[in-house]
Amino acid sequence: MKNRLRVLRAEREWSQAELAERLRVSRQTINAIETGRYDPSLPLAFVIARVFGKLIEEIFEPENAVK
Amino acid sequence: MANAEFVICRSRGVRHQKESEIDLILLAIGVALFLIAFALFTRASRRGDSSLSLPIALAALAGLALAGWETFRLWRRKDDAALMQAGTLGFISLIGIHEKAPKGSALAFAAALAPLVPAALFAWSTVRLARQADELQRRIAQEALGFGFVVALFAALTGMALEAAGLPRLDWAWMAAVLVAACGVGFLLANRRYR
Repeated sequence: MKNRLRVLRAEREWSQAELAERLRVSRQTINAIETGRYDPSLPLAFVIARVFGKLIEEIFEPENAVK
Repeated sequence: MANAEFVICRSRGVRHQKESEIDLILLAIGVALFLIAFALFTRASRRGDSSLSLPIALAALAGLALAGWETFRLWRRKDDAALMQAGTLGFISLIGIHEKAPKGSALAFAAALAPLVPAALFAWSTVRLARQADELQRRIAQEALGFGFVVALFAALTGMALEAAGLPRLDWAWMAAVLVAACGVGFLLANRRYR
């Protein structure tokens, strides 16, 4: 799954550690999501969307999404 | 404030707090003192040398008290990673002490059961750490345990096959070490994958 986490984080000038603190996860988790090595669970995806004030589908997109 | 502590704890993973280092060192000294005194006590008891028994027993108790006090300090600091390390150290140190006591004696039975105390500490702190872990850390732990279980299973089956083929009888105590080592390797591999 592709995501815009890194871009959104950079827009707000947050470090990975800062975002991890807001989401109550480890920095390793943020890095793994940003690099696409790990797809978050639905509850965590909702929290991420809420922190950035966006919808889940505005942040996450399936690799082979049909447009 | 509680939230901040919680987050700091999460981002730390299984590493102990810096303030706990001195406590872990003192705990190790306490355990070492206890082990040395226990060995001397059993030797003195075998020789019937009662004049040395009391000071040596006091030294053993002092070692235990030091280890217990340092464990209490770690518990008060809520450093579960350090408690896990303390439990591991205690278990490894105490697992063989029953061999020093006379076979069949009450001391030997007490010594054989003694490792259960640090084992319980290890289990308790592991559960607490698992509860604090986020979803990725839980997945890493799950993959590590899965890897460790499969490796230990195949190691056991291979050992049995080798025994059946005529290899001298193996001491199955090594299985625990294989399981722990395999889980450790699994943890490193899973951690590397999600780094």
